[in-house]
Amino acid sequence: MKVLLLGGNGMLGPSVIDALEGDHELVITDLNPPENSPHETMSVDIADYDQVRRAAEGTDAIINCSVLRHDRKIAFDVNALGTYNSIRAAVDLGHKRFVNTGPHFTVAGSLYYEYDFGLKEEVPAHSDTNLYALSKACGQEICRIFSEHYPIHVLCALFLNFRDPEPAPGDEVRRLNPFSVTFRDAGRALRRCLEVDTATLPSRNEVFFILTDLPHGKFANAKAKQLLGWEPEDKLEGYWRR
Amino acid sequence: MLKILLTGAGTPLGLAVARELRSKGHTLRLSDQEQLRTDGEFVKSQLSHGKTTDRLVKGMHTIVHIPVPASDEASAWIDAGTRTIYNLLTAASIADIKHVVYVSTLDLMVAYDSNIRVDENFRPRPNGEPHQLAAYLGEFVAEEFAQTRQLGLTVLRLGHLTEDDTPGDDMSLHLHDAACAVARAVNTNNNFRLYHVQGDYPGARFSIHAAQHGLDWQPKQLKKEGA
Repeated sequence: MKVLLLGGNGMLGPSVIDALEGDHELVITDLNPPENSPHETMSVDIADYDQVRRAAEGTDAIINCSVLRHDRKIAFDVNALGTYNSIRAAVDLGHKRFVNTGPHFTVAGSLYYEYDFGLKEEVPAHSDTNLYALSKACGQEICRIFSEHYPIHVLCALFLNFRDPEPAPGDEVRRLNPFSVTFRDAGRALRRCLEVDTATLPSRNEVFFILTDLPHGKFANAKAKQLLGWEPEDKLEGYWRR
Repeated sequence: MLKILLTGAGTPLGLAVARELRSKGHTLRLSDQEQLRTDGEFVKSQLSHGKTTDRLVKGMHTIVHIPVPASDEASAWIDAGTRTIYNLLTAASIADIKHVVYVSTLDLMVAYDSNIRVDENFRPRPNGEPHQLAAYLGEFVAEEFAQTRQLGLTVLRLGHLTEDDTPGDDMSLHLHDAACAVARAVNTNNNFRLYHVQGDYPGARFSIHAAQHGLDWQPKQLKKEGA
């Protein structure tokens, strides 16, 4: 498959590249794309539809890892408008699959996670008014709406905290966020989003919590295991086991 | 009487709402992206992030927000439904404003089969067109503020505005009736309310029962046959 990776030079991008290269042809874009990459790269401002469309031409699917958190103008330009541009380009080009990403509070914001346990992806989306969360939630709502009106599957992988597989020697082991995963397991999950047979999915819009198996019981990763066939390999026990 | 900020004041609906609110004795601060001739207070604003929007809402009791895109480009519609309302409601929250009336559209509900009696308990079903996406996202953003910042919010989903005496389609709403509904909505005091607002005439598509009772509002211009 030829895959356009948006936001390929961000925090998650390199793990996605590691998980896909060799088996998929990659077009890696970002405002400042990675240098000296063996893959095709180009500079793309996701807020500009024409740039996104040009980058997507000739590809089979898009993985959207673009994200901006702090500046209000750019956050909405990237997280909401940028997602609109991306899925619109995907639909216009006849793509059948779009992979979106975001933080877990795209769906389960503070109203949930401060009080509740056993949280699953199917809770009604409430992001809170945090800029990052709400702008990403707008982007995912746009994806959901497109999936309801156009023949495209949206698979949205939600993350929060990324950790190395083991604490570094000498590092103080901090409190582990109950929504944690390693970069390489995150990359593998996105690969499954790209490769899973969409005919096996219950709907054209599916959200997945991507976290490793943790004892907290606050968030569930069963859906990603069952529908994507994803299994986290890094259990992060060094962070939570005495 | 209330001090009310009215955005989108230069639109036909904004002008009608301003007339109606003034006739009720409210004090208005009008705002739009382009300069508007008015004898009253007017602030030109793009609802940007920063102190200008903070100043825009300062001293107000209530905001009536009629979203207006900066252009007809898809990007402007998405911006109007996300960033600008986020800026406005963030400023409103900081200024401790208690109530916002958000003007949306009944177009969000037309995807349902016309044989279904659709009311406010039905999930909105926007299509992928920018103006519907913007209206829906505006509701989505506003509802988060209502839930997490205890901002009083009234959403009015309006039918297709007309100044004719007869309905143009099955979801028409006379401009004056729309303005009256907004004027009624500013006096409500609830954490969250949503109303469908259109004319009451044979063949009218959406029930306005909730608005008639919740807002104590009656459409008068596109009346029932024989009324």
